[in-house]
Amino acid sequence: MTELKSDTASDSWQTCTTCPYCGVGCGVEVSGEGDKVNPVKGSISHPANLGRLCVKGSALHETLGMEGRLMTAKIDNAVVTLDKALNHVADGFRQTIDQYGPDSVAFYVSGQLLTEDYYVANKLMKGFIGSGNIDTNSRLCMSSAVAAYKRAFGSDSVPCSYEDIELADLVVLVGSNAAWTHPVAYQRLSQAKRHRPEMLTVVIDPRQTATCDEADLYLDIDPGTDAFLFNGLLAYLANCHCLDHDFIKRHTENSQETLDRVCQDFPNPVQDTARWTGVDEDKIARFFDLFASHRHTVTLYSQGVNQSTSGVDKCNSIINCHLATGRIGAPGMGPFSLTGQPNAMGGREVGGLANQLAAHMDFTPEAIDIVGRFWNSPNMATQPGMKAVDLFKAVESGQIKAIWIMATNPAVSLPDAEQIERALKACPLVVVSECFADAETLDYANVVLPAAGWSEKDGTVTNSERRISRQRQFKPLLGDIKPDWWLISQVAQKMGYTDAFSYASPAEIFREHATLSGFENLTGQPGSRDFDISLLARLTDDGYDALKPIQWPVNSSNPLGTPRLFVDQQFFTPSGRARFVSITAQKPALAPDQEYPFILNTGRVRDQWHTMTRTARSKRLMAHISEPYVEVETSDADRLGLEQDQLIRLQGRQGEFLGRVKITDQLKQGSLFAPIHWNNRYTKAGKVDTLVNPLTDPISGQPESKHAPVRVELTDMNSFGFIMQCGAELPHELDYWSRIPLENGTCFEVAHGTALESTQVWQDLSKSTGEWIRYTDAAQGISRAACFIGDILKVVLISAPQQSDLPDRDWIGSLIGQSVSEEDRLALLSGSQSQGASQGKTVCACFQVGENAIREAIMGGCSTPEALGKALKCGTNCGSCIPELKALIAETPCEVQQKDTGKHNSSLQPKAEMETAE
Amino acid sequence: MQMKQKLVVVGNGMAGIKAIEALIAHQGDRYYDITVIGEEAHPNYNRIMLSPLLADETAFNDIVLNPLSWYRDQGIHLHLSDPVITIDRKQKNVICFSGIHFEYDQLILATGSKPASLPLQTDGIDGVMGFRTLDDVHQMQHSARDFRHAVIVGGGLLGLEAAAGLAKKGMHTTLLHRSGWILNRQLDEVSAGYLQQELEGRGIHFRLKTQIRDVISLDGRVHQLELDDDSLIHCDLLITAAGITPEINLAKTSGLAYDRGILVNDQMQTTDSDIYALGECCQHRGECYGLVAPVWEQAEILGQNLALRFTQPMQSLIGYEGTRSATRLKISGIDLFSAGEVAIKDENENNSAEVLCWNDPAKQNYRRLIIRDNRITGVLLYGDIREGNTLFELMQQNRDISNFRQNLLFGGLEAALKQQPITAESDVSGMSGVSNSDNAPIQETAA
Ligand SMILES: Cc1cc2nc3c(=O)[nH]c(=O)nc-3n(C[C@H](O)[C@H](O)[C@H](O)COP(=O)(O)OP(=O)(O)OC[C@H]3O[C@@H](n4cnc5c(N)ncnc54)[C@H](O)[C@@H]3O)c2cc1C
Ligand code: SF4
Repeated sequence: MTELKSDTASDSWQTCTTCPYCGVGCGVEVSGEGDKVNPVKGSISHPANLGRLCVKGSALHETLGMEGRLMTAKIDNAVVTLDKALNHVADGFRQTIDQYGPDSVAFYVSGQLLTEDYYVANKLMKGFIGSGNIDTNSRLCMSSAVAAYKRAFGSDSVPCSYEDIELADLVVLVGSNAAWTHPVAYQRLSQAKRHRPEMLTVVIDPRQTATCDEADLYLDIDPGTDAFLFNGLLAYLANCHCLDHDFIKRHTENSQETLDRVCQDFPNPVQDTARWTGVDEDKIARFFDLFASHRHTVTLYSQGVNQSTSGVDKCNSIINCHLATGRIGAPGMGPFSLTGQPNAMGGREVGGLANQLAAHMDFTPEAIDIVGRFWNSPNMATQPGMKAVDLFKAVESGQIKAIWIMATNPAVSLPDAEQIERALKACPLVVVSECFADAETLDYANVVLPAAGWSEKDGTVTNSERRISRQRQFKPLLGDIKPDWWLISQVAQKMGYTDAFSYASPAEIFREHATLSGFENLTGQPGSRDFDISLLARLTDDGYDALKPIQWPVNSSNPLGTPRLFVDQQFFTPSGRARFVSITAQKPALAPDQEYPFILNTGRVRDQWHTMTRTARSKRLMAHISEPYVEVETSDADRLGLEQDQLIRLQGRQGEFLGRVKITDQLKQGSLFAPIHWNNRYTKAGKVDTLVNPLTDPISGQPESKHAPVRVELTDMNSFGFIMQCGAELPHELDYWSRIPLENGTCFEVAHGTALESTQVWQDLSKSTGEWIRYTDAAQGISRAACFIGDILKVVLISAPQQSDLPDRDWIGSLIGQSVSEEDRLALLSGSQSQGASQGKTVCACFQVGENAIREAIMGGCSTPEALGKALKCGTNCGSCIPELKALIAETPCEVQQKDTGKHNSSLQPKAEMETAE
Repeated sequence: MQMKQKLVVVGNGMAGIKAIEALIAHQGDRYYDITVIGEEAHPNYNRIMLSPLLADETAFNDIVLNPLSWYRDQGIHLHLSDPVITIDRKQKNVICFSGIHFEYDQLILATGSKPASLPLQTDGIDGVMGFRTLDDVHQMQHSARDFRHAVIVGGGLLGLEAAAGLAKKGMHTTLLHRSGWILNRQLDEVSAGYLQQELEGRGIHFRLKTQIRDVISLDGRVHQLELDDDSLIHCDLLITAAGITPEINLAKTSGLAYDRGILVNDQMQTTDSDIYALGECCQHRGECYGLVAPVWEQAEILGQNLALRFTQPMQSLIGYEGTRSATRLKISGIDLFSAGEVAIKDENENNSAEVLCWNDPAKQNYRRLIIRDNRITGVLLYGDIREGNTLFELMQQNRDISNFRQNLLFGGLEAALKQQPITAESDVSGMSGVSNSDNAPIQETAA
């Protein structure tokens, strides 16, 4: 960047990158001058979003500040040189492996990593350390979808493009609040609908989400009953002769068994389905009819389906319906899984999940041989490693003794957060690569490595439609910050794998990854692999830099990429046929009972991304929904006597959650919903994951986070308030707190069982040095105080026995760290800027009459002190201001007089006069 | 038209003259020949402004309320520098010190008050004086030139204003006050602390909870004071500002009923129906006032009644019901506003006092309200006193403040009040508006 400051060259710059927030993978145009970054824009030329961005994406430039960034390495919390830290990691892993074998170490990585980072991590673990123990937080969002695709197609192949959503006549959204979780994909859908009103959408969700707003039909199914619905649908299709027999016969297998089974289970498809799913029969009938009658149908599904103990089965029940109607491999149709994370797909491609080997190859002897030869591996892993939940169980039990966590926060994102905490505390070596100094996982780290974040990283990502895009660097690497691929390669080299990890750039890694995808991959022949980007192996460094977004496969048969798979109806199973999977629909593993009578569903809210380390930095994003909450259905709320915004506790088998009640009609009775984003850094007990039971799908290992039996408990809070301060020390002592970032500080919404004023936090803050102003209404227990240094507002402490007695936060919050005028200082603790126009200098002290009002009255015709006294009372008590009143009368032109003059002197225009007078 | 009656006013001060102005305003002067008798040598001036005058912030000409020409123009006979010493109620005569008599048909007593005297032997000692008249101010101005040590007894409004003026004139000024804090009838301890700090900055020394035990003179002039904490302090000018005593001698000697002041009814009549009293000398419904706001109301009522008594029966005339007013301190650069209850005395448990308080010690800015049963009963502002009057009005109106209780002390009150739903009374009128409203659109269409 220093070069750019040269005085001759203009220092403005511009680049294209991708949004790091969700699986839509929008293209983003970033520009700036020098260090300054302008507001970002959606990239018009990026096929994923064509210029659009959602709120999160368009706030990206607001999240770039360096404050709170982790810039140095640490060992046991002491700052060390990066080299020392890397040696420590390499030695630690080396020794652990030597002593306890390769399976005693693990990597836990993330869908936030770039493909290149992922590739290097996977290669090190599976090819050189020789263990399968690398898993990713993508496990949590889409591993069921992956497993289902593999069962059906023989490969993890998302068949569709976003374009298909627009081309469909019927779009069925299952367990997907796309309006919030994949905003731009949803925008494309609703825009298409506006263009083609005959296009129909059906939303299937136990929760009436924002996505239902524009839906033509909404099925409020009982939580976890999706497979019953699609099995029922399949039976219906069979019964009413809507099957594509030709397609079934020529391109699928296992159809008969599957169809027989559903017809047996659902003798009266509509009625039976209605019974199993809790949806009205006529709605079921309408849905079945819509599905049967629209060939161009896309079924979109995400976490709501995947996160289940029978998630894979649910996905296959959906795919079965598409196979049965031959709706795949053509424009506007297909079973389309939307991934949550920006690069979950990239992770799948490199094989960064414990049960995959690499490049869409599994742990088969042939694959192990191919990859082993390609990598020239001394020590190939020969069997799958442990999946996320099991992996952390093994960490706790001591089986795994060294773990490296990259770009994720397992303490928040995995079920049973308390177990994760125990595991990490128990683990002898925890290495964490992180961007932010306050990430919760750092609490457990022995070694902390400063990793590059969005804007500093360079590489590729793959979005939900298989589109590989470049994420580009536009900010320099400050301090000791390094990209993840570099950190991993260094450790690998220090462990002795010098040649295999001597990468100089992400381009080099990408080429190797592309080469592997084509290595001994006989395109078009039986046994070939779907993931093939071998053509990109020839990219030069410049070519890589300039790479345009492209959908894989990219090989000699598809040099321009592949918008749609299975056009030729050839699948990647040994027979080349797609497979029906016969499903026994299952209710969720844990049913509600006496003790835990409610079913908690969890999910994302629009503006927050995962565990908030990044989005919480943008004040704008926090404003949308700023505290953890629980949605409660109206009649349930009535029955429990809950009020809007009341603080309640959810108690589950594993843990608890504190949040505010939001009463809604958009849930089914007996269901609750809580957002997944909050963590210990942002609230007292807002980790829903502590409530989610670590029960997983037997095939995919994906936890059942959409369905946790809980009970609702009232909290005994008697004192409510908020703390605002320039710093951000967490008030752990309080019974409830939730943190909301401010422009120049932090706001904590708080509540406590006893008076807040008597807590240590409160008393300590009350002692902050500076000038304090205080407001009290002792009879109502209200106390408000603010601390200034000079005119700069530093601390605000507000408390009251009732939440409703607290003043507005917005204005006060905007003044934290700012200089505050006298007027605002007076108004501050009321929470709103005083409205009254300034009255000007006070002239009549007895009646507090200001100069402005007096002048106005004079212009309105009061030409004597007596007249002013009549109009405004001024001068009628002690009379000491009468001389001043006379002076004002003399110098202020009076409107009435003006008009008179106007009459006398016709050349004067009264109106113009008035203007000069003012 | 009947013959004009003789109206005599004793006391050429703020109350007496205001009553005459009110009489004139109601065209009552056509019924009366008016005589005003004054003890002081000056036309009516604004007594309140004696404090700024002492502090050299204004000049005498600017505080004259009624110049001699005014009396002349109104045909008022003015008799100055000659106090009335007796009233002969049988003859309907007033007799002045000079021996001059004036007959009256109607008599107004507006003799004001005088500084309360100290329970000490000070007779015949020079340099001991009150702060009431223009002559007092002149005398203080002379002393400030010739002497160094001023002591003021009494930390009320008057005492503080005197002290501020004298300190400003360069005297070494000490203020003695009996209570634990100054202005204890108007301020609480916190605000009084701010005020004291401010005044200390202006050179005034304070001795709280202190009284004079003895006055020691030298060559006939006050020289030292012995205080009740056994200390001795220098003093060559002693100002007594520890309260005022209504001037009621004439009533006493002429057999009118009196208590602390001359007793009057709601028409300001004394026990002699031809004699009225108003201003600081009178006592109405048990109350003696020391501020100008009640004087104005009394004067308006008396003037109006004297004008209308020939055309309307007395009992139909409007009566005076008492005044609640707010206090200010006229020391330039210091603003305080106090009205209603100050010291909280809780005799009734059901209706106990609740206190709202806003405090900015660094800027010495302070606001406190006392609330009982959702009504404001005391207003106290120190520093930024804007909105004092709005709060005062809410107190006067006895308005239920529960809806905007948490908006009272932060400025912007007027705006907050505008957002309040209309009061119960206006609701009623709103109701009748509803019953009419069926017609309203029709009228509009017709028009
Ligand atoms: C220094 C000072 C500051 C003040 N500041 C304020 C203030 O800020 N706000 C406020 O509201 N009030 C203030 N006051 C009080 C206010 O001035 C009085 O309330 C008001 O003047 C009372 O009017 P009055 O006519 O009753 O008495 P006065 O104005 O005292 O008039 C009485 C007149 O009668 C004369 N008199 C008495 N006896 C006789 C007699 N026998 N014969 C003839 N004449 C006689 C007296 O000499 C005097 O001139 C202040 C008073 C003083 C002294
Ligand atoms: S839709 Fe997803 S990728 Fe696109 S801007 Fe929003 S968060 Fe980023």
